[in-house]
Amino acid sequence: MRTYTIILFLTLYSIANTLKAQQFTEYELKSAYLFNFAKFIDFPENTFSSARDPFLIGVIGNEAFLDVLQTVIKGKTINGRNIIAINITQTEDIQNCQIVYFSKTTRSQTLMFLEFLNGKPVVSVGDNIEDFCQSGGIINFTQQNSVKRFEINPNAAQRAKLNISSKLLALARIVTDVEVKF
Amino acid sequence: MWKLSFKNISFKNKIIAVILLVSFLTQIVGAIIYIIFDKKEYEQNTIRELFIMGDIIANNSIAPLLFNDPNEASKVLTSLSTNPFIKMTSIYTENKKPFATVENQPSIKCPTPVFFNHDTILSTDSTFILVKPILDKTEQNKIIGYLFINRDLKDYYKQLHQIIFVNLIIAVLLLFFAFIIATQLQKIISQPILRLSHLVKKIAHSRDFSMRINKRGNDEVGQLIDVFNNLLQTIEIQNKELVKAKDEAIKYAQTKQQFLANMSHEIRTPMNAIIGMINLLQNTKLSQEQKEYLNHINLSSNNLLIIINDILDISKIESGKVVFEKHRFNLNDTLDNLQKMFEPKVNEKGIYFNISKDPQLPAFWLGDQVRLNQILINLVGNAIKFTLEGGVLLQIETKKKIDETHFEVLFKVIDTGIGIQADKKEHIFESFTQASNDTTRKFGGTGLGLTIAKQLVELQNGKIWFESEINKGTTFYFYLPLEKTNPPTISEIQAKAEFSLSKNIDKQIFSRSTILVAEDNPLNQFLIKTLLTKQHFQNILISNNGKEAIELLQKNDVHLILMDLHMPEMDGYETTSFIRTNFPAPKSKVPIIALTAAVIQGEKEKCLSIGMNDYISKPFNPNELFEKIIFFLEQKE
Repeated sequence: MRTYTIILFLTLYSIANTLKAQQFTEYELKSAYLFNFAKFIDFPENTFSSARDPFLIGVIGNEAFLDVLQTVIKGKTINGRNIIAINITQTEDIQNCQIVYFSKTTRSQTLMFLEFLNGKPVVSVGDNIEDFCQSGGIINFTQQNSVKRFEINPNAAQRAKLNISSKLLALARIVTDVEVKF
Repeated sequence: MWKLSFKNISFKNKIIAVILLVSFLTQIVGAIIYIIFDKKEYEQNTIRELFIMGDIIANNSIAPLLFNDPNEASKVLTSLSTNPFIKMTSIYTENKKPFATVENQPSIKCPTPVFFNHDTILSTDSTFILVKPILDKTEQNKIIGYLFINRDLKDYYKQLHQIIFVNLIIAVLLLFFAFIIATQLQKIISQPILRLSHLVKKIAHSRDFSMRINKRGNDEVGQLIDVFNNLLQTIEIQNKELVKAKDEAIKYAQTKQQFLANMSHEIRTPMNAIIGMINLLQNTKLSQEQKEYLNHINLSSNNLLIIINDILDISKIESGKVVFEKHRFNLNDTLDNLQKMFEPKVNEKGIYFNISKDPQLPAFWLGDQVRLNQILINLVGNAIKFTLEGGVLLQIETKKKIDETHFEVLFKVIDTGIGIQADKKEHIFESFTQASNDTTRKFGGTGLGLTIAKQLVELQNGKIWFESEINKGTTFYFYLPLEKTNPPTISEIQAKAEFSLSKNIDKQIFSRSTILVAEDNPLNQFLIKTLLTKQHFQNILISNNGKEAIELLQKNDVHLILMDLHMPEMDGYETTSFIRTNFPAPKSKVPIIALTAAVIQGEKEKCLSIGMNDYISKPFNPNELFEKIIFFLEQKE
């Protein structure tokens, strides 16, 4: 009983400490989300040519975010692969990426990259970009106060031969190709 | 006082009780073991179920946690609400902040969570709480949150109540069946024991120790039966030996009896001659000195006769051959005779002997006067014997009047004699016991007098006792139940008077009559012949045995036969029946008077039944003999 009380006390103490320390910024949060998406998406078998190939996350249009992302993923692995975040400036750079993050991109820039990515096994993630999923993007962060944190277009994922876990789908607003037509 | 305890209830019920107790205990133990195992199994199942649930929920909570979606997490948790025993589920973040909570039973207060880094079940009396860290498998099983599932145990308690209830019903039913079976099965054990008990009682009751109990098995009861049978055999053998010993003892007693009777008979025959001769001698011319010697001889002979009679009495009493007669007698006459009898003795000793009879007491009684006289002679004789100065007082009074005719008459013999020592008091009535050997030397006697008196009193349903003080005197008390009767009527007195008159007959009748004497003893022949001659009998025929008697009877005209019973060649019985059956009248009707020393009970009856007319026992009183002779001769004339 006494041990139980001590454990309880220590636990409460540690909770109080962590609450004070954890203050996340929007970028940090979104970096973590990008990293987490990887956990729920199965890539086609031939995605990596060797076991030592890193997991690549490309960032388009927001170098500030890239800095935050690199800090967040530092030392982390996905399925035993190191994660590397790179800046994307031209379409060829996307070739080896598993996730491409669109942030603060222009409409034409977005469409161009999405056009390029169509059918390729790369997860395109938009940072609250209007009609991102309707335009062929796979995941798009929604506005800060919305019920769902992000939206997913499973048809796009299917076309990209990516298998998105139902668990992840359950957290997203689903955007279908039907909506694309409207 | 019997206490109501297990010891005292019957064997049957003991077995039933034991069987019931055992089955009840088995039932209880079985139920307890079942409940314990059931609880274990329930716990295992419940915990396994909780772990499975926890795994699923934790797995499904990874995404909501990673993407910080409490709503989705709540949805995941809500999936458990179909299970009615889940009270509450909640998820905490890796930073131990509440993330999502679903309460199925809103009334339940959420306990302060306790976090563990591995799967843990916290159990209380009413709940199980699963604490499960939610791990991100893709990222080295990093803890990303905590899952709590709070499950109550209502179903367990419901199940427990059902088990207890069902067990109770089963227990009652089982006890009922156990009782029915036990009442039947107990017979297997109790029946042989009850049977043994029954047979043992039967044997004890019938005392037939030759019985044996059949063995029906070799169990403990069988062994008990073996032991019991051995015991029975031992008892049987012992009994046979005892019966044999008893029979032998009786045989010896009878032999002793017979020996005493024979001895007294053999002694009385010569005594008869001695006393008769003394009587004859006394009537001859003797010097003063010779007369004195003769008196001594006479006295000693009479004492000897008394002793022999005493011994004979004792042997008769001991063999139970004493029969008490119930004739009318005059107590006053008895007392007068007693007074006269002891007068010479007390005068000689210079002491007094007084008799004081309660005047209210009737004179005529029905009873055995001879025996009463014998008792009184013994007691008074004793008292006089042991009194040196003072005297003896005989008091007679009513002890108790049972009804108009039946009395208990108390006799007291009070002497002022030497008394009886305290240590001798309890032996005084035993045979051959006198106060001391000195007493025998000093006062003489056989020591049989008191024994005979006691036996005679007790055989007549009386009682005898005494009080005594050394050198002051002794008082003997005895009482007898006697029946009062009327004095004899006038005709009876007349009949008696007539007989008395016949004494004054003229002596002519003697000279006219012929008397045949059948007697083998020459001394006795001489005695009888002398007595008869003295009374002017002239025709006296003497025969030495029955055969001679019969020959003499054939040749002569005989008026009366005096017949000894025990003779060689042909005894008195044979001779009599020969005369009665083979002679022509009137010789066959000749009066026969039996003469014998045998005074055994039944001899008189035997004599009369065989055809004799009367009986006189030796040594006889000459007057008695003459009275009888005259009676028959007169009758004949």
